[in-house]
Amino acid sequence: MAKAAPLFPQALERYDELLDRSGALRPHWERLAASFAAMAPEEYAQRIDSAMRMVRENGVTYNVYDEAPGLGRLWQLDIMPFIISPDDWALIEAAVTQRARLANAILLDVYGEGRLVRDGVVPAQLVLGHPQYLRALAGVRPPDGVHVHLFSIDLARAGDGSWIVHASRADAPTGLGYALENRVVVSQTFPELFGDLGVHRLATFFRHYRDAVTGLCRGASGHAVLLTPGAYNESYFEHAYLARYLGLQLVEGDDLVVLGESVYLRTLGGLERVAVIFRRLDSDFADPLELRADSALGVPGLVDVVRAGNVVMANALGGGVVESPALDAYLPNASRALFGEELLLTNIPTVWCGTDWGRAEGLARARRGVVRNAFDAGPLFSRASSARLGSDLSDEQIARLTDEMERRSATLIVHDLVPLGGAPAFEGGAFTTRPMSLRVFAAWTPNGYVVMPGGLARVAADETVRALSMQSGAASKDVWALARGPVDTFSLLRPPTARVEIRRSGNEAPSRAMDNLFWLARYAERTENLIRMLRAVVLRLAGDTGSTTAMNATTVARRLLLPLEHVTEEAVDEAAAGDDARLRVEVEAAIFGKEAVGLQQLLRRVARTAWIARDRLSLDTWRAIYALTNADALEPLGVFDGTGTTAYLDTLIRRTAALSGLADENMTRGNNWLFFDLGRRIERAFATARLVRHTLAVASERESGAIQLALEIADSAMTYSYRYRNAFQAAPAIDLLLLDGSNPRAVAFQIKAIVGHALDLPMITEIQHRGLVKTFAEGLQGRVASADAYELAELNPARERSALIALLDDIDNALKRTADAVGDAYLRQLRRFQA
Amino acid sequence: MNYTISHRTTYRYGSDVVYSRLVAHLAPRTTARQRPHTFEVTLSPGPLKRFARLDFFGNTTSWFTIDERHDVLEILAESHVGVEPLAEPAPELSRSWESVRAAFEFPTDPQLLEPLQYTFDTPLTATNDDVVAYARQSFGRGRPLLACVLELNSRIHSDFTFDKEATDTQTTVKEAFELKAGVCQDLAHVGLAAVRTMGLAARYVSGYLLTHPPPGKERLIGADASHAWFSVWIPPFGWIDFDPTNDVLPSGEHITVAWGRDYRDVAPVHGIVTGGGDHEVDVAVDVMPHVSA
Repeated sequence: MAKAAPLFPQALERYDELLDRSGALRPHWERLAASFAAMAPEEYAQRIDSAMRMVRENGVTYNVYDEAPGLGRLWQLDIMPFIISPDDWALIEAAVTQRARLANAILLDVYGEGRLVRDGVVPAQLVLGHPQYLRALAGVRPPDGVHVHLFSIDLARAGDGSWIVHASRADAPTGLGYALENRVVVSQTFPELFGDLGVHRLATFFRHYRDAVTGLCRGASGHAVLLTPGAYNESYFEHAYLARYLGLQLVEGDDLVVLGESVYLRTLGGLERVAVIFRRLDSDFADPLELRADSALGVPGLVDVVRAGNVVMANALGGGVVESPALDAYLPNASRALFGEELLLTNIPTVWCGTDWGRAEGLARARRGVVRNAFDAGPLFSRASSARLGSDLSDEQIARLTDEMERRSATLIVHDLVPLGGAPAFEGGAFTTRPMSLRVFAAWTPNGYVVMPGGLARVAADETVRALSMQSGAASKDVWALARGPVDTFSLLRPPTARVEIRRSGNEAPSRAMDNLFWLARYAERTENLIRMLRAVVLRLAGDTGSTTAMNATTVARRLLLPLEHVTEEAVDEAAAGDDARLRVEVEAAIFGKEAVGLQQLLRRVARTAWIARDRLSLDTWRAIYALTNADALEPLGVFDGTGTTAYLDTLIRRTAALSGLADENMTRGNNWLFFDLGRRIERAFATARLVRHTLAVASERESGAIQLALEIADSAMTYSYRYRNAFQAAPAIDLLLLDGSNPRAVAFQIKAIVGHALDLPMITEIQHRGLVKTFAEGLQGRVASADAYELAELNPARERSALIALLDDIDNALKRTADAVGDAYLRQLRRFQA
Repeated sequence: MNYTISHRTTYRYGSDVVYSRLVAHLAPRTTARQRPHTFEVTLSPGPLKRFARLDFFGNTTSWFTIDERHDVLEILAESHVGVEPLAEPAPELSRSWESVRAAFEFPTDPQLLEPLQYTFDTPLTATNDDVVAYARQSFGRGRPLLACVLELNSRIHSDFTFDKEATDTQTTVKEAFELKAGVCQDLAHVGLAAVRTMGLAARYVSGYLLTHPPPGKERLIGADASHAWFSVWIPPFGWIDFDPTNDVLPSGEHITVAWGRDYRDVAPVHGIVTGGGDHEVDVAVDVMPHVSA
């Protein structure tokens, strides 16, 4: 099965991008070649390092489907740009524009009049048999007759220097965001070169794209959103990135709801009309009611809204029909019939086997070509691809193919195996060549299609035909299209002439996004708390007790870690009896174990939640989370290393502090902040109340040790000793940790913040007007304010502090009710399912 | 023969449903042998909005949105239909299956575009080696297409066990072949997949069947079920129906509701509800013949 595909037969005839036939550098590469030649090898390596650091810290990833979200493979970038000469670019630009127009015209016809099929220009089978011919959309004309708002083609250079079209995308083309990110990184990696060469800028294209689409809603008011399949999609990074860049709300199917004949966004302030959907979700998944019923990603009823003309879909639903490789064979016909034009660029020679001639020709070419399903537009040789390499077929497989051709040849195509042209790469101080495919994008505007002056180049890791799918580990390059004249350096998103409406905040934030921020803050806070508890045990296990009156490791583990099940009762009992070997192993596992219920699991949860919420996080915040969740953890060795472990935990504490600081200083005081901080305050109040319960609810033999432990975990030891010297007593400790509204670690402080936030929460929907968050939080505030530290510290005959326990129970209950009230009024959504 | 048909679907939800959008394929079609006289759907609770629309295949679909909180939903479809018996076509009058297939190649005749779309697989009915081998046995060289499908229909009837427990509405042809069992939906899928894999056109038909009580017993109200069979494009006759569950050609006792590429195109009721939790469905069908027209 894992047999490597052969080298391209024509690999030797590859077009040389760098050198002409006389061996001289082609002019558009001269400046780069000179600059690279002048660079010391270390310097190039350094630039790679800093570029990769940018890629890593910006969180540019590409999810491979069976991995968990947020754990996607790092985006592979080759920092050397691919340069296209002005002449080549002019041709490509014209060809992509022509193809985009053609794709749109074909879709308009197959979902409309059906002239192409009736006149025999395109075989009926290629439309009626196409799984992406969405019958629910037949007869539906999109606004202004625009089906294809964004279009892409994949090109590769043939041996003679001509460009050949390998694939086109008209449903939900991907790669735009990655192209933009590549540009950001590479232009910063070679700033001088980028400035000198006269490279076309990309920003204008994105503005055109966004403004043209939103312009189609003809002033109908409503949100413009970017619909993503969600964090599990391979290109989620790009969706979040594009949404930010284009100024759109990033939404998933669950965020939208159809009522009547309109589609709405579920926001904090209730439902808000959506007028434009930039769709990154494949068409057939868009509506489980009328399209694929098994789609959990779409919006039930969406097709009805489209039919009523109440939403602009970009791209319109059903564009997959023109992506089929079988249709490639009929595009020249269609171009002549629709426009009277010849195509500027040709496709890979393709035979559709649905005719007598096609069957014979297909069989004749099968051995030296590629056999595949006529409607399979997926990347060649990707995991789900139907493509079979003719040279791999056994005689028996050829016999079966012949039989299949007899019965149902309409679903088969055979195309030639066309070698990819080469992209220059710079390795070890010398130029070499890698097979390359170039994706170029066009966007619709009222004045015709415009082409993004650049693109996404993908280079294969080796020379095999199977190597070019991004899922199998190829790398990408930034594409520099050189301008003939001066470049348009416009780089802002807003058109300079239009006055931007000044806005301070909005309640249009999707509920799901707020839910994610709320939980991100809770997980981050929970992490910090766990680290502090673990560190207290580790310090004591390592013999650093800090003071003679302090509790020993065993007692601390029993009080703090046992209730959370991070250590077992047996381990604590053995340690109490003098053998702490097992306790050490378990504590280490709680810190470093990848599988254990412990710190690493919590850090993964932080990373995953941040990944889903990343369109709401500033780049710096994202980097702080990256630093926190990617600190070099030690491998659990089974040998306890007190110093190394303490250092690791100290690093994490500093990084959580950096994250909190960024949130405090940099998050605008709008809804993002509100829900983030609510999450943090609620979680911290829970944690501090629990800490007091586990240390002080029952008096111990050495009460001062318990008090010191509580102060240490709550980071309040300095304040305490400043106020009370070394008199460790229960009442002042309880006051400082629970009742003192000036201590940022005290429960009272958290409640005060929650009450403050409750006043800022949007009050729009009926359930929000009930104001339960405020009611519960204020109730708790009153309860805490009226508590008296000395009464709370009093012991009953069983040496328990019953007043304290009652207060802690009340705090716990009220916090739960507050958190539920936040969820009910603002965050929670009803589940839906197939009837 | 005239019939009054009532088709009652009851959903019982574990918790309240706050909003639902439903699409139903419940209205009997007009065909050469069938005349629907009346058709009515009643919902409880009543819908906020309803409308009817023809789908791509020409079936009448009924659309409902309900925004009233409920934990029981009842959909009652009542129709009154007249059906003429089939004049049995003579197998030898049909063309060879190879020539029918060849005609699909250049569908210059616009009338061929309609059957052409039923020559392709669907996810539920995708073909495989088992299906090809099974179909081939009935498609001898040069044999009239009608003769091929009649034999196929009888073979499915004898080779597949009718078993209500073996499958559900999402069972694929591949699974049905492994089980060699299923309900009328599965047997119809097997039939159409076998015809399609030979490059010919077959569609899925949903409807009702008049059932006969055992001798000496009363008809039981509500004991009938919705039924399904398949139909094949057989020139010069056009579409001819085959019921593999009963090994018959549907005639005056089969009432046609809707057709499509497979079950999913014509599911009696499907939709999306918000809320609801777990749910149970109960279906009761009653096909009542009228003594006189």
